[in-house]
Amino acid sequence: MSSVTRTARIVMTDRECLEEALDSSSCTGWIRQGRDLIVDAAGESIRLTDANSNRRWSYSYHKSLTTQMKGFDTWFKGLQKLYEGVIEEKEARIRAEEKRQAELSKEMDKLRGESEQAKVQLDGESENRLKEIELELEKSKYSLDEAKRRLDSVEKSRISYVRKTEDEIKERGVKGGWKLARDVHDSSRRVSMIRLERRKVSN
Amino acid sequence: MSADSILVHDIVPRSEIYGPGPRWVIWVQGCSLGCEGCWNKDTWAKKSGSIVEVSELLREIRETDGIEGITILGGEPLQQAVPVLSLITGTKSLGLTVMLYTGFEPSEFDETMRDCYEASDIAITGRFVQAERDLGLLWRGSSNQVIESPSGRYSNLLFEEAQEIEIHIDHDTGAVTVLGYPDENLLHELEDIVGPLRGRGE
Repeated sequence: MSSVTRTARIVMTDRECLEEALDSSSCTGWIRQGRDLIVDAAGESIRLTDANSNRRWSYSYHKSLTTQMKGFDTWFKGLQKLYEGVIEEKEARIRAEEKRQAELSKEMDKLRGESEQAKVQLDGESENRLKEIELELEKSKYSLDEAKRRLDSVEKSRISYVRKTEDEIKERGVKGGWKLARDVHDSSRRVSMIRLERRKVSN
Repeated sequence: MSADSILVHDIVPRSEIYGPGPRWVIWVQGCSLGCEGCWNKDTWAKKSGSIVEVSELLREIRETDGIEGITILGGEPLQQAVPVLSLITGTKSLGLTVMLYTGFEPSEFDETMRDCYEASDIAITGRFVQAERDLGLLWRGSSNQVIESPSGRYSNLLFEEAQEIEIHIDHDTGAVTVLGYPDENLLHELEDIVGPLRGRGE
């Protein structure tokens, strides 16, 4: 048989989202220190770094974890889920704002349409509502732009991580005596596939 | 679990290192053979994994473009021989080929296991034997394991022995999947780049 191994389901690549996840986590505190973050959680004080400068936020992981570090590792897995939640919340916010904008625009069109049909000026109440809608739309537009900006930033950090990771895997593979047999991007599945091979090396 | 469902460990919709051409790959969950040095110890337990109906798996296979066939690994596929046979026959009815891995020797097969084997286009049989571990073999982990083409479809297949690894990087999540027969050095390098890999057969 052969193995199938996977990393965490989502990779933490965006610092701002990571900080939001930390704020909602059970850590007892965290501070910025240079480019790193020092986190107190599960009885440990651990440095989170942008590992290998490839934009993956993590901590120095050892396979032979002490019992206490296993506690931190479990906590860290929870943090990855919170990070995923932060991203989902931003996506949900965009959907909600877009829906709200559509509803407000519809109401505004209706008010204006009624006034045009009747060839009369809007009454005071409708006039006030129209102004409220314009204000709400303005706020919603700002909120939507902000949420989109943040998600764009997350996307950019993830693309950067994927590219750097691809390059590093290929580079280290070749250095380790592997041949790069295939290097493709499957655009329909949004997956990069790297195949390394070695001819008849017995262990 | 019903005879129409398979206990599944993992699925990769497209890979090119488990048989001829691009293939949809499934690892079933559960194996009691207990080969020493097994690559996939976390596929042994029968209490984990996900139960998936064969009809759902066939739907996924049908919707996967550009594959030559499927490959069934484990775990031990023939310890779920009844639903695995449905998966094999259903796949073949789609005009796709089937490659089957089993730790059993043909002499150990019961009737349903034999039906699975005979319906397969390629079968890799035999236990993983630590003393005969050879990372340079194509599609196999130890040199006692045998490649056959029970249906005859690939009986003229020519191949060159090679150690193959496939690494998939998901653009939407950054998650990385490592398939194949990596050695410790490469796994160490990969973990240094992408972080801890779950399911390493230590």
